[in-house]
Amino acid sequence: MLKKAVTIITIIVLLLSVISCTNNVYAPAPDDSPKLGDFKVSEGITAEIYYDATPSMIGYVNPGEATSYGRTMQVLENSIIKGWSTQNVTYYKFGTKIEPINRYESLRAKIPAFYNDPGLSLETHIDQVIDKAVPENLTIIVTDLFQNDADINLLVSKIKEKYIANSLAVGVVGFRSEFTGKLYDIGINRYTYTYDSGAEPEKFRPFYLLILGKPGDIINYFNQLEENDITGKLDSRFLLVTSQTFKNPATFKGAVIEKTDRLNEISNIMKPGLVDERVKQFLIRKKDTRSSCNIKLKNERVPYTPDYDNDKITTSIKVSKLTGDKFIEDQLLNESLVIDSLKLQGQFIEIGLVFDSSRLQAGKYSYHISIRPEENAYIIPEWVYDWNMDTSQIEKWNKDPSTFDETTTLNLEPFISGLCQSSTQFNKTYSDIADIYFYIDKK
Amino acid sequence: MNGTKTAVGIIGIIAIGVIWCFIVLNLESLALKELVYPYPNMTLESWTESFIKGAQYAVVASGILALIWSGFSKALNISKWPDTNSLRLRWLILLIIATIATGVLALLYIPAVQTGGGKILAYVFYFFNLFVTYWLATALFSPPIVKYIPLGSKRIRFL
Repeated sequence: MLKKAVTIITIIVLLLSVISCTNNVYAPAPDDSPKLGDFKVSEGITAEIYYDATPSMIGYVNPGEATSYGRTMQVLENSIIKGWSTQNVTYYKFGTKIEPINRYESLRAKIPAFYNDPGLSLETHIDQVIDKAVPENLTIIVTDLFQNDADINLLVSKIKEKYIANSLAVGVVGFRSEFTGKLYDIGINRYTYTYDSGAEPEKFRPFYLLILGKPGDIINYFNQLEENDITGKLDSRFLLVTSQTFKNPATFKGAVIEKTDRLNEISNIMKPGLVDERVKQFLIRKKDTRSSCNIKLKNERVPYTPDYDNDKITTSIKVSKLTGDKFIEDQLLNESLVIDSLKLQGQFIEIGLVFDSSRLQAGKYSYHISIRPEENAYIIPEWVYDWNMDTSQIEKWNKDPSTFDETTTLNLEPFISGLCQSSTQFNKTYSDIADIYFYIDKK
Repeated sequence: MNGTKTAVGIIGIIAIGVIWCFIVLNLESLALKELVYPYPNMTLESWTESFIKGAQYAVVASGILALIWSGFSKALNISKWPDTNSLRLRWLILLIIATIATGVLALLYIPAVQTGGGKILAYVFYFFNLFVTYWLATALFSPPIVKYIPLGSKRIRFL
């Protein structure tokens, strides 16, 4: 009897050894490197501040220095000093052309005399500033953004080529300030209006800081402006346009699998100890022909960037089968995975996946899923529409100037939309919303 | 001779526990791997690891209770020998304690599952392990003086 028992135990041990040895071909980690965004803040900064010195700006300084515009001028340089340990700031005023000014003269941007320079004051050529700006520097442009249709297209095109196409960014900070003065060149017929906002904030007129440079530096500058309590005291709006809305493509780091059906998470497709945050491993049993899961990926949004329209998010799926010790792409299997639902909600990306595993033979598979925005996927912030001048009303305003809406900016919406659209054109090259791999062991 | 038999008894009880922990539990977990669907965010391996851990504790607990039975039997005073029913009741009380311990361990260590009969089978395995380890150990390796007290021991006793 004892002999029999020993024999049975030996058989069981051998059986266990055989079972444990049948599953020892491990899948490699994805061979492409994770795509990482660059949002570092420069250690020291070289900044250029450009003041729009055209006559339409005088209206912001006529009411005195204790206006929103005046307070903003005070913190422009201060935010650079606070934000970086070393800084080198140069100053310019611009209109028809660009003129360098010294620091002392820049402090006069709070008084009307600064804007009475006949050599500059005919037109606002922000495009020339873009041409002159050094991409590696932080360029700050103070302007009322008064641009006609042709100017706006040129401006967007230049910012796109020089900054967005090169992984750099443009920040827009909109303020509203007291205004007493004239507005020029409204519409094709170039009407002129006189406006006095008085002290009621809802009648204040917008002006802007356009900030160009590295995304990390712009975000740091935004933070410094906020720490200077501009937002608390002033009516302000912040927007950052860059080709990357998320700091890095979302992986399974911090992800929550909310629901699975006929799908078991496992950890033995890749060699034990091999970790890649883009990979989750699952088992699908032979009898299970349809498996699904809902996953909530966590991501770190780049602050100040606009939201995406959920209907304009696109996915790409690449399916490979493990052959030997390598994954070989098999396009015929692309239909074995369907993205059932996809939703961006704040910092979370919710994805519903359905595997048609009846199409899979026994083996190990890799499903590489990339999620990225389509072109024009950004949702333009509501304030841009609110602050945009409705040009269809120009002739009506001309007939009855008392109805003219001076609290808005000509061509603001086309300008911001143009920037946002151009930024999504480059997402294809170097930015994903999410970049994940499902490794499937089909029994 | 008696000392040798006691040693064999203790080694036998430990051997049953060890064999169960290293072989049978692995076979059971292999069977469960084919059946269970753990809830999200728990891998199948984590599920079976938890199952095995709890099952091992339950087997060890059963083994300890079998050893307690063995020790208790050795300590019996031959002059005040209790009747068979009384001894069998004590054996059954230890079995009940082992059953409760196993039930608690099952509640603590068998993770929830989404679908399939895996969890029921896991409970069946826990109580099967308890029954086999406690019963087999006591039926095979109880001291000679109480060797026929465990139920069914007459049929299998060969020492």
